[in-house]
Amino acid sequence: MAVERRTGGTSLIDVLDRVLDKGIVIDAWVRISLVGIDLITVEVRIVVASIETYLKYAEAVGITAPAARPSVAAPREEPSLGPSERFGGEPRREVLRD
Amino acid sequence: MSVNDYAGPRPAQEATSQGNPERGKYVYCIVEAETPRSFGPMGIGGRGDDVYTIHHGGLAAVVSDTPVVVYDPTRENALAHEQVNEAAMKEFSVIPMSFGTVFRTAQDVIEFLKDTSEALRDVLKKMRDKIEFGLKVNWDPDTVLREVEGESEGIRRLKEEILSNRLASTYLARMQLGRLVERAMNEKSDIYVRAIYDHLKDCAIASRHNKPIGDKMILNAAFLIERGKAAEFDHTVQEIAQSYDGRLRFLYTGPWPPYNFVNIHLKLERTEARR
Repeated sequence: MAVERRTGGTSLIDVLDRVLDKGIVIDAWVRISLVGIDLITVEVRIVVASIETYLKYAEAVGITAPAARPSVAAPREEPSLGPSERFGGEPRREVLRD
Repeated sequence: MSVNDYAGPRPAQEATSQGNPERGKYVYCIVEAETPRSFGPMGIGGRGDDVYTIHHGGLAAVVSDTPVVVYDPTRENALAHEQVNEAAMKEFSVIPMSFGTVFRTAQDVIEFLKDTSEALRDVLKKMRDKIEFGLKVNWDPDTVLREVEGESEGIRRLKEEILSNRLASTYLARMQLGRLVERAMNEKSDIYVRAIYDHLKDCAIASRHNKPIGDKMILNAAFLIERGKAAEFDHTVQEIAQSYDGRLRFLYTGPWPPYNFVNIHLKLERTEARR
């Protein structure tokens, strides 16, 4: 059975998984205040807090793959990555490969 | 423009334009473009608002007019956000904005482009002609469980002991069995995942590994692909899916804007009044 590619906008889960907290993200509270703040007449401006572009292979691919497992299972030791990176956390990495 | 009628921050209102003649700007993504253009009446909110560009210094924000409101990520809203991104992506390399960003005025959008232009340009350069594909791989845990049982002498024996009721308490034995099974399944899943990645890495620039959702999923990844290599990637995914036919189920989506490969975090900072 060949796999069918679906265009992005057809799966709500896949859409939400991306649009809610990825890309250019403005602090949640700012996002709410933005709609009430006229930037150019109040004393605020938008600044870049951090940039991360993930242009490198997840180096531990395969080794860190969290397998389907009972939800009560204790976390395995996965020596190559820190805990925050293990479950799709935010690896603090700058560009490593152009 | 609102420069002279600023009335202080106001709370987000319901989606009515009543009492709010001024229109905010919903921002979908940032592209590199010099000339203004329109993407048609596909703006968020179901009002048929035109999607167009606001420019500054070679950068453009893709926006539509909107009442100044907080948008909930409903199906319609999230899909509208994504569809505009997809439309823009057909012609441009885009940096997607996360859902729900509304500026009060066009001038605010320009200020935003100005304030963050260096970062935006840098990232646009890195993401030029690159698109994202999503790949989720599921297996059937029950089938794998039987496989694992069939392959491991230790698991089979322990299970028989537990079932035969010879043990006074089966508690520890069951714990032990659970551990063995889990380890065996993890190993299996790792082997699959590694093999899939090995196949795909030659046609991908980068990959990101997200947390699998639910207990059937063994892989939830995003791949960054050179636009020109999309067909090759596509072909490779088909091949892999075929080779695991009957054992693994592949869910394959895209092209997406490179959501998983760009993370620009912005915040507000106090500053001197500008004018």
